[in-house]
Amino acid sequence: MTRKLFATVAIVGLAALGAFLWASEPVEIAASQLPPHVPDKANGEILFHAGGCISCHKPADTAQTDPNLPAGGAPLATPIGTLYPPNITPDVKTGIGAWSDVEFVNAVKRGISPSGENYVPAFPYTSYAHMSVDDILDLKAYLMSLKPVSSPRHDSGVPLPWLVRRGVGLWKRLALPETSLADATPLPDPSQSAAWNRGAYLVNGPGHCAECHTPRNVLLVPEAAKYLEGGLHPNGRTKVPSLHDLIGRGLFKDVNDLADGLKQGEEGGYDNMSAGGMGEVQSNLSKLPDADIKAIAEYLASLK
Amino acid sequence: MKKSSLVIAGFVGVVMTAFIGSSFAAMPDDREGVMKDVMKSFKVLIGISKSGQFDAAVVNKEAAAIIANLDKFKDLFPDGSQAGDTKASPEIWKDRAGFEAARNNARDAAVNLAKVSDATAFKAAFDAQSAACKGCHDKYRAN
Repeated sequence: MTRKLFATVAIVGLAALGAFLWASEPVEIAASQLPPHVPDKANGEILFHAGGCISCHKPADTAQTDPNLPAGGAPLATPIGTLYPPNITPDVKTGIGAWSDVEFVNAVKRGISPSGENYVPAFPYTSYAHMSVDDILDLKAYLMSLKPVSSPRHDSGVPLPWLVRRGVGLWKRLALPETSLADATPLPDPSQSAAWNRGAYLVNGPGHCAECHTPRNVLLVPEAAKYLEGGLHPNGRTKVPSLHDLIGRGLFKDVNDLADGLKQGEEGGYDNMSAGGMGEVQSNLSKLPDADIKAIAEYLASLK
Repeated sequence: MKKSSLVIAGFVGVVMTAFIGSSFAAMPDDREGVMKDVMKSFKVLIGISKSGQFDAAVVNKEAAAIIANLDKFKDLFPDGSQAGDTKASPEIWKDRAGFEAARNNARDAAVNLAKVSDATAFKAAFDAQSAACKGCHDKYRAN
């Protein structure tokens, strides 16, 4: 009787493990799927600021390293533990210097590392997934042009990292359902202006505003139906405001006022633009071309 | 001492206390109140910055008010006051040295602003002030 029970448990256990491994398998983009592309470093730099990369990938020791270089290592508190964003300067040993184009695209668009592991979605690839491959390759070209900094990977403060990373594969089936290149990058809306479409692209993709400004369900998947309606801050305590009806609610006078708010932030008299982490976001946005800031304002102002 | 001298001295003392006290009476005690008071000064300074109408007396007065408020601010974050409904980030208590440095930075900028006597000096000093305020908020203001 006991041997039969043991055998049954073992078989069921193995089957469950098999199912878990199958369901959580990373879905990678193949190199053959990448279109030919001539990189544009200047565009890459714009995306670096729009994407806010430096805010997480800033160096741990700014006394030793230029604070504008994304050498990584500064602690990032998350609901599952402390993470240490990696070095994304082109250092070959400790950074991304040896990465191929498809490895970088898989990292940013699918949240998969070159060794095939899932990244913890504190890295906001559920938003970056909406970026075009061309833009991601331009971003890579910009990063590769930066000064390489030697900054080895810091062990994360997350318990059972292998299990957590594999489990993220299951979470991705809910949060990142796109399995083909074309799906994740949305087509422009022909009924809207070019500026509105540019704003929508910047907000939904590199801007990754939804990561904070959209509420998440109990599985920490962003609730698409409540897009940008505000949510719980990653610190688990404070609220992040809704971005809907900003002008109707009297928070900004008009689109130009909103654009000024994004560009000047608190230093221009716009209170609340430096609270809860928004200060660093606003600093990054202020580095975008004026037309892009205006485009973001136009898109956000249209959210009712 | 003659009785009349005492009365006069007492009267002068009361008037002086009332005069000095009234300049602080308008100052809030709670930290959000102090920050809102600083915002009032900041809005005046932004007005000058945007209009280009430099007025040394106004600038120096608002800068003095900011210094006084930041001095008040120093002692409003005792241990144990991080709980409850506050816009102060827990980082303040985790990184006291950093918070103090940020406050000092803002105070130094205000001291500079209190000395400016022309529009060019004002522009540089005001840019430094707003950057110092933002620098502290970026790290230590929760919402």
